[in-house]
Amino acid sequence: MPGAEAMGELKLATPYARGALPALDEEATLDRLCAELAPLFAPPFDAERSSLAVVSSNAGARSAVEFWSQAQRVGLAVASPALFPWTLANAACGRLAREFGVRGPNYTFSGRAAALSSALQQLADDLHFARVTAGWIVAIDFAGPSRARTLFAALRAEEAHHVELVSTAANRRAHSRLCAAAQLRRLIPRSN
Amino acid sequence: MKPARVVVTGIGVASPLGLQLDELWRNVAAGAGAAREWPDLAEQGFRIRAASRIGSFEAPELRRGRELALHAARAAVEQSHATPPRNTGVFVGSTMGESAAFERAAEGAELDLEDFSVDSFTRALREAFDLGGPASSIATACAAGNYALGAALDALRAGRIDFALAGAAEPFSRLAMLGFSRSRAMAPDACRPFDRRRNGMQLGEGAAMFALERAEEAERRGVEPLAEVVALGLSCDAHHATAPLEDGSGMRRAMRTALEYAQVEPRCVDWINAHGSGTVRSDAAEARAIRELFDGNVPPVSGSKGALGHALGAASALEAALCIAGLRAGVVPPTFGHEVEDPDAGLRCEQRALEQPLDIALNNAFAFGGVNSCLVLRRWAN
Repeated sequence: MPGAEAMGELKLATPYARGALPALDEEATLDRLCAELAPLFAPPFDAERSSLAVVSSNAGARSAVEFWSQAQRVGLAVASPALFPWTLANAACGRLAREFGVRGPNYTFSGRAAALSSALQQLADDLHFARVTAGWIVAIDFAGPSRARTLFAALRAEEAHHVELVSTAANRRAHSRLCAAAQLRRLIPRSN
Repeated sequence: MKPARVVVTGIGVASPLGLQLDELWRNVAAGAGAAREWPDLAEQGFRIRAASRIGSFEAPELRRGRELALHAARAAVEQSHATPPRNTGVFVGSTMGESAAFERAAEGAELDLEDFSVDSFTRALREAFDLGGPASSIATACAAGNYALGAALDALRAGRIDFALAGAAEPFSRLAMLGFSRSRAMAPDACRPFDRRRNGMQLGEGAAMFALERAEEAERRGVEPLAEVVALGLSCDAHHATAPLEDGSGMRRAMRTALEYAQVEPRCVDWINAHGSGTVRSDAAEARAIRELFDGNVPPVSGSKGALGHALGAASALEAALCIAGLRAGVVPPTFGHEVEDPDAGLRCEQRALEQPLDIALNNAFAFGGVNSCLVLRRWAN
């Protein structure tokens, strides 16, 4: 499991993972992502008191377009329903929850920088109010018309950890762009 | 130290049974239903043509969701008699955002689909009211409205904001109409929540937005709150992409968690607005969850998806609005479409409007992916 690491201007004191995947459909992408993230979800954790959030600006988009496109080609009456569940933006978070058995709050935030900020704040609140004892945030930038690969970054936070994230200037490094190109804030368990 | 009380001071809706909450409540309480056949769906080749759409709401095709959200938000702000401060938090939920954009992109239109995501609704509200506070765009499908209200609750209690706009919007989606229909989840004739003859959902659309603030602020402004948002309970089945856990344990956990956070005993719940999508499995799981949590003392249960259709991401927001209207009126509305109790599910819904004192209501909302939410609402009493 990754330990603390520095990525340019971004310093984390919590388990973290990041990487890139080839352009695949969303279901296949999530299969690969589950393999990549498995170390980050290593037990122990309390399944019912752990949260999982996906942050993405385009989760479900490729599947939605493909589903409707297929339907137009073959006719509505015989369109295959197999792809339909993947057209929902929250399908990715559901897939991850099933893979790793995370049964607490399940969030999907739509957008880029602001969405990541929302996810961090939600995790901070959930830890602060003792609704959870652990949480993961997985940011996914799915491959599509404007990007050749799927980029992902993920972190795990628990009661004993804190995440200190700093505002950065535009960062051209593809991997860190997901997390770094945002206004971020301290995520520290509060004492009050 | 007790958490700050967070109240709703304004509500705006756009629904197939009314473009204002008073009208919506009047129709639902009178037992009206919005579903009808739509000729355009037949022309486009849909096998199932019945849906609950807002025929009187005109908006550009690719921005219908945004316009629904704005309509609702403006009404909420107006009712609150507030000028939203710059640091107002905006929390908006939806399932698909502007579904029509994805459909058009599939048909060849060159669109940047990120401009039509759930986030586009949030951006529109921030721009319309010139807001610079925290914002969340929540894409948790059929539970999104509850999630948005929960996010506002946290932000207000933490003191990060002084005012919030929260809710959800979902324009009618041909993509969802096809998907649910081809997945055999859609009723060909009517949505019958918890009914013995239930055979699926019907699709709807709409929006509901809420103005929220801390009770002390509302009092300072001299505004009488409409209701109190007390707690949100969440869980995830982590079981299946679409089907819920058969035993309803995930749904029960969300409800139990909500009550624990609210510090409310099950026996103090006066009314449950069920998710009640009308599908065989989901209703059965929810019925079991409710029966087991309330251990034989089930309070009155109603569901509005028979009347309004399933507005997906907007459903729980519209139903929260109905909960508040019902709490204020002291009336549990009838469950349109529920005529014969399912002996296997063992959950009876109110078929006529039930007048009785109401203090605490639960608003259940369960989504694909086993995402479960339960919002606790309380009639405002100072």
